[in-house]
Amino acid sequence: MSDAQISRRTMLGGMLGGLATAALWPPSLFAGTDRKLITEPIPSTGEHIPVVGMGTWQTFNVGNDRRLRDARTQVLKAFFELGGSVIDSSPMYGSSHEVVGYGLDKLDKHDRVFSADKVWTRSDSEARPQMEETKDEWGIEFFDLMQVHNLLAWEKRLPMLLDLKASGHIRYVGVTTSHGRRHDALEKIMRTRDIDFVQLSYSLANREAEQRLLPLAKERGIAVIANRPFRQGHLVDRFQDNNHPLPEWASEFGCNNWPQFLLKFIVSHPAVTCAIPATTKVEHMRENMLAARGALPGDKMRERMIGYVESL
Amino acid sequence: MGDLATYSLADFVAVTPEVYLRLFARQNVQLWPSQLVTVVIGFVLLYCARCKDFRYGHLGLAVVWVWSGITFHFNLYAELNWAAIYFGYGFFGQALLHCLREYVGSRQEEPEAFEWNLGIAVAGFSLILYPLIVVVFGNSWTGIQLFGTAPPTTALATVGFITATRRPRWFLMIIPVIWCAISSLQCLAMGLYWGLIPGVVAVGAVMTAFFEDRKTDG
Repeated sequence: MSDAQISRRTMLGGMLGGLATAALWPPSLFAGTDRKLITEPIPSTGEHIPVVGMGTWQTFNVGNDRRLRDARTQVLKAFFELGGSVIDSSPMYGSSHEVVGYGLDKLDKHDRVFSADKVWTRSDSEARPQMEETKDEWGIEFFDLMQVHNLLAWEKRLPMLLDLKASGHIRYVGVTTSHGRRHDALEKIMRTRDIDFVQLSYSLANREAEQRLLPLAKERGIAVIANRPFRQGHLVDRFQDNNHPLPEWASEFGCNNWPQFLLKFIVSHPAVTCAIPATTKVEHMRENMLAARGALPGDKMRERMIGYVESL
Repeated sequence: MGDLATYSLADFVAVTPEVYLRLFARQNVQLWPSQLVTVVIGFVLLYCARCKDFRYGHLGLAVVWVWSGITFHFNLYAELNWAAIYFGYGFFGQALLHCLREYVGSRQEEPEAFEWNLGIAVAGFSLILYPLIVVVFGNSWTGIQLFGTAPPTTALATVGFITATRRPRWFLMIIPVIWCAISSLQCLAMGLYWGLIPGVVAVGAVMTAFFEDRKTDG
């Protein structure tokens, strides 16, 4: 066998191997990940978390449907591969807890998750068991963040959570609202209680929190998680499905699509720590997570973004 | 209470359309081929209603309400929606009412011709056409919503049977109409607009029958 033949065989084998690897490797999944992951510090400790996390309302509530559980696990896989860690859930979300736990087990990512759960019960006797059940389902030793869901019985739940934090059973304490509800009560809690996080609705179409709550969070050193960044997909549908063009200048801060435009607006607010969009699709997870990379719009650009959306 | 005004329909639906529709597909796969039995029960009931002889018909309805409650609400929907257990108990309650109705018997009155025709039409639509409508709107055959297993179809057909049969009967309408309304509102929230049919047809049939009764009694 001549050197030339060996050389051609080797070259051919290498090419075939490369083609096989390319076929198996999803390059589109990782395009754009060369840009640095953007993180924000949690004010109370300085710990950094990525500015885009993952919500699980509706999207992970698939019950024992094995096919859909596996599909959601692929979404979770993409989430972690693209640098995600914050996963937000609640007992109110049906089987979302179990499905997240299923995915964490399959992927063996229990140590990668920044677990953000909620306590959701009026019953004092049910609160701890509810939290323990979720902890078991996720296969974690303790929750990073435990929140009082929609301020339900917060007068009793918040002291309980603060006690748990003091004894080392949870790391951070927070409260949540959504849809712009109960902002007065939320403000009162932010002013008078020593909490680490608030979760509220904030998006380009819902900027009420800019008036009082976001400045107050900044002032009090409280991290902010923004829920409903897409208003359950309606915002994306409104712009994308109606063929509204993305402005050319969106590329100046690395935006290629409307989900990234909407997310970058939210997480570029100085008081916002993390946004938690929810999705059932790997491709959408990729779009969302790429919003946590590259540049963020500054104040002037944010004004421009508001003006553009209002003009549509 | 002020907060209630900020809630939309979608806030009460904890699943995506994909998951909701797969519930019916999973139910069908789990129960196959027992759906054949419940569908046959439906056609037997339709025949009896058409012959104006609904003896033991309420027992047949009691059986399907229990079956639908167990196999859908308790077995599948309850893992997704905390309210499904209560829906299941409601279905058991309806089954009890049918047993009670069977026990009480009926007044010796023929159903009015208009109501009889209306009821037969609604029951027939539920047994034959409504399951096909679900497929026509792009959903898989595996998710076909059949009488005796799928709650919306079972409830709507029951409205038809009750409308077509002898009095007393209004107490039997409450749960089926409520379920048709709940089911339709869920579908509306998810953008599954064909799912409005049970609610619209059930409410329309009941209101029509009610006003016909009043005309006859008056």
